[in-house]
Amino acid sequence: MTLAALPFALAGAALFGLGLHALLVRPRMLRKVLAVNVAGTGVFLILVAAAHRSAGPPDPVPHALVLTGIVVAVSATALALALIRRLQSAGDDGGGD
Amino acid sequence: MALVLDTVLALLLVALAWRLLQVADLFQAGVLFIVFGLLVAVVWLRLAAPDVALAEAALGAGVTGALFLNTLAGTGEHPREAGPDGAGGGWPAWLVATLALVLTAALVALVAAQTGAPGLPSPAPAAGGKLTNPVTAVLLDFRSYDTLLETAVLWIALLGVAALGGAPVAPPEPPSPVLVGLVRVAVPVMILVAGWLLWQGATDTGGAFQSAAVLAAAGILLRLAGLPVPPVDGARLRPRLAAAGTAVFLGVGVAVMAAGGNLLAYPEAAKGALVLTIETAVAVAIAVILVALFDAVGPGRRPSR
Repeated sequence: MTLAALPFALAGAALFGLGLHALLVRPRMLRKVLAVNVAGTGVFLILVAAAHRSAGPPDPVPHALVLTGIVVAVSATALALALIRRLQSAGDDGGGD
Repeated sequence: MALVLDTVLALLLVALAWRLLQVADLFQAGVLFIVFGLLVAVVWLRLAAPDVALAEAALGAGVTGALFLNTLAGTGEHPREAGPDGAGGGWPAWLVATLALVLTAALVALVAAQTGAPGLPSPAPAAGGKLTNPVTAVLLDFRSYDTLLETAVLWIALLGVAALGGAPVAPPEPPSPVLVGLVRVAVPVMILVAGWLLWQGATDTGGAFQSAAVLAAAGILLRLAGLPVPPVDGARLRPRLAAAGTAVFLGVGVAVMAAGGNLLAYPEAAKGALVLTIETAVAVAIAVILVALFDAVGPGRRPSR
């Protein structure tokens, strides 16, 4: 990896740590969804930073992988949010939790 | 100098992530997440990944943020009143902090080991035919399976949401006339931009997913303004359009086998037309799926009894 990409790779590691920590300690589910997204962004940052292997143009394969990753993250987020909505309406029906 | 600016940008990103995970008000957290996504898109530009930047700005920041805020509106309670959101969750705080720190340190070590690693001699496989954008070439030439499966992933997400039950209904609130006026001007332009991104994707930054995200944003704007979104509102049309992306992709992929090739190995002569057919179907399907997902999490659906 080139030096220019290094700050973003290190930020990616920090984002992963922050996201993982919040995922484990925060009890509210909506916050956990945000935490997973932040941690995922950290992984994407490391991948794209690692695509700068040498001074030339970056390797497009990690870029394509991250594009896929963003789409999968949106799908998973949408499903998680729908599950949260369903859980809440189930709680309402059952007289609250 | 550029390195200093990049370092400031990276630090800003970490600070924003910290803030959005800490702030008590979930609405504020959602807005901060959108800002975070836009900042990440700037980082992708700094890392010479404009395709990823477009997808991040439209999907990562835009659609995820819209889905999150719509869910928040759908829960129908003020985000502050939902109980404390402090430390907890049953795990000792020191254990969680140590785990997160160890994993972060391991990632830093991995990153450090990557610096100075030898580069690949030629980054991309030579793209044949009309596709000169390396990322699109990789996606559709070299890794077609990838794109096919991620189209399927979105479709499966919609199936999962549909399986949770409840049909979406129109939002009851009357929209502001300013929004309606803006939407009437903006949506035709957005459809044009989506088409341009799709066409442009063959040779330059763009492609089916970026185009779909712009189309989906137009659909969500129409929804917020209380206007009909014909491809999504039709109870028979919606599931067919949503499945069309995966179906056309797979159909073309299998049809080329009949012509003597392998699965998804397009013949050189017809590659441009086949890829454009697939990308168009994928873009429309993904846009329909994203708007349907937005409907499913929003306040339009009340708990059924």
